[in-house]
Amino acid sequence: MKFICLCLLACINCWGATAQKKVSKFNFQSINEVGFTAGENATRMQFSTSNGIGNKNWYAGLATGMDFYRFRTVPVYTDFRYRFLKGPGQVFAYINTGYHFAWATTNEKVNIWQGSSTVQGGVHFAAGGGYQFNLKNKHAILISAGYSYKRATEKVNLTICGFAGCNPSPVVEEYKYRLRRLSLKVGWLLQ
Amino acid sequence: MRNNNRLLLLPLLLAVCVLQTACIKDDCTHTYTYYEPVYRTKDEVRANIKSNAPQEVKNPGKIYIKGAYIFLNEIDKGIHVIDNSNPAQPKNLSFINIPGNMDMAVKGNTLYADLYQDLIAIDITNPQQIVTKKIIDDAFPHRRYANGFMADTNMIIINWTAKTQSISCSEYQNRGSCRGCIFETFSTADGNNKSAGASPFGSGGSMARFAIVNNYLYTVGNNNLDVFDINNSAAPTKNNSVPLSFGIETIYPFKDRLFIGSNTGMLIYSLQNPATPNEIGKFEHARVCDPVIAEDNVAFVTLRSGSTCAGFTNQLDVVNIQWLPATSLFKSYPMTNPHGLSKDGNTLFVCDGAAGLKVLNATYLSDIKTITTISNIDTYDVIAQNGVALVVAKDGLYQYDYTNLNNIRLLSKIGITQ
Repeated sequence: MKFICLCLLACINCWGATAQKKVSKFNFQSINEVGFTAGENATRMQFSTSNGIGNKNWYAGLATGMDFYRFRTVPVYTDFRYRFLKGPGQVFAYINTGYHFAWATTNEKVNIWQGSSTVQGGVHFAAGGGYQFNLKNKHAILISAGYSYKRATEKVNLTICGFAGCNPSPVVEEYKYRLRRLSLKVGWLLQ
Repeated sequence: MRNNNRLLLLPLLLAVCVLQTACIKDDCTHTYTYYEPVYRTKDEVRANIKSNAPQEVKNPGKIYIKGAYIFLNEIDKGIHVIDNSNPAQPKNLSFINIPGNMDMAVKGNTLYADLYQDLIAIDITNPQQIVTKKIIDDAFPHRRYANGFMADTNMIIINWTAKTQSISCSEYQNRGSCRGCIFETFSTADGNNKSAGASPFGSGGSMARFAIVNNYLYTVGNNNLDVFDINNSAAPTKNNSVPLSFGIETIYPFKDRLFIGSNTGMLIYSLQNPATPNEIGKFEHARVCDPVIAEDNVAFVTLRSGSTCAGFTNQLDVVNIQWLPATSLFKSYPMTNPHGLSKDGNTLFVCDGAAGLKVLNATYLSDIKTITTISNIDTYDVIAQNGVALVVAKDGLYQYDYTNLNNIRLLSKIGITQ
């Protein structure tokens, strides 16, 4: 993980000059990003698309995408961003709040304890900052890092077996996950 | 300006890197239910082994038929005594409280049942006024630890109290205790099937672990065959214990043989010397669960996968046992998840789990055909005799009239109270 951070820093330092562009007062903006969430136990892919209205400093949009950390989920969330300073490149901060809708894969629905499970979604929260490299054609390349929080609940139907056989009705056990990850993304801003 | 931007970004990314080690963490909370035992003294429990008021069927286990009576095991609780003189209107007469009970067998007017590790002989001459005749302490040592607990040896577990707890997943994983043991009290009783034993013996099933042949009661544990002398019905004595391989599941008597189902095969024991059964044949298969019934030259074995049964096989095997000790697979028929089975004449009844009760024409073993399937019931075991099939299902005890195989009728159902 530290290696990824160092790479990010290196990228920033190697960045050359880019043209400055004018941004109208309010305009439609589409931000499409792909990246990774890196947590305590794994690093998994994520991608998202955020579409909304922005001006030179502010952006507010509605976003969705896919998150593959622990369980496959579809986050739907609000996306607020603020761009600092002006120039060919801008630092920005973002904050996302929303909900992860579960879309667990078949493998994720099988629990090692002889049971099948159902996965329910939970709260999504993310915050962080990044750098926006403005291009000539009003587009921009984004690179960002931040904190990402995802909640999910797994209900496992356990078939417990003993001396005389197995229980006729599965025993349901519940796992609540609170997943705190580092989020790294690169993206493309269209406006 | 660009330099300012970089200056702002550097501390930001450094902060993220710090966050990575400080805040990047997966938390997991595990909410589960566990069961605490409710104890009574041995004296209290034994004093309560009598014909108590009838209770609703909640978790039915094995069944045993004796004359006009059905003895239906309520897993770990006792035995329902049901008057079945009119199969269309069975009457729940009484309930015998026997904690830890899972198996039973009947000879004459004596019912033998397990009370955890103890064997009880009960006089059922009047099923509504039963009398305990004898208790053999520690007859089944493998049942000593009820549901995985090392119970107080002077006390008996009569019930379990459910409690819910939430702890971190890592803490749960490190508990080191058996995850499933405390749930054994909910284990399903696998049923039974028609026994070859004739009157005065009752009829158990293909899922039974108790069997009576003449003056001996045979019981199977996980890896042993126990022999009890019941020449004096009211005063059984433990005679012998024959070691078997692990994974023993069921016992089925036919004439002078015992057919023992294990999760890796079927063992055939001769009763030429009834006090000391000896192995005369074996039929091996993949690791699955396998209730068995048998006749002179053929045995029917259902293999099922799932849960502790492991394996991936679900089928009915027809096994040639004509040339013992040699046994051979004659033919296999695919099934969904077969459990208990029973045979009356050429009609074979197979409980195929959630796929229902399959009624098969077994006149020609090379071409067993389905006559009909009674669906919409999740079946465990069946006893078919005298035109009435008793079926233990997930939601109750069903009785079907099969005198006309083309028009099998539901006679009655004793439902389960959740």
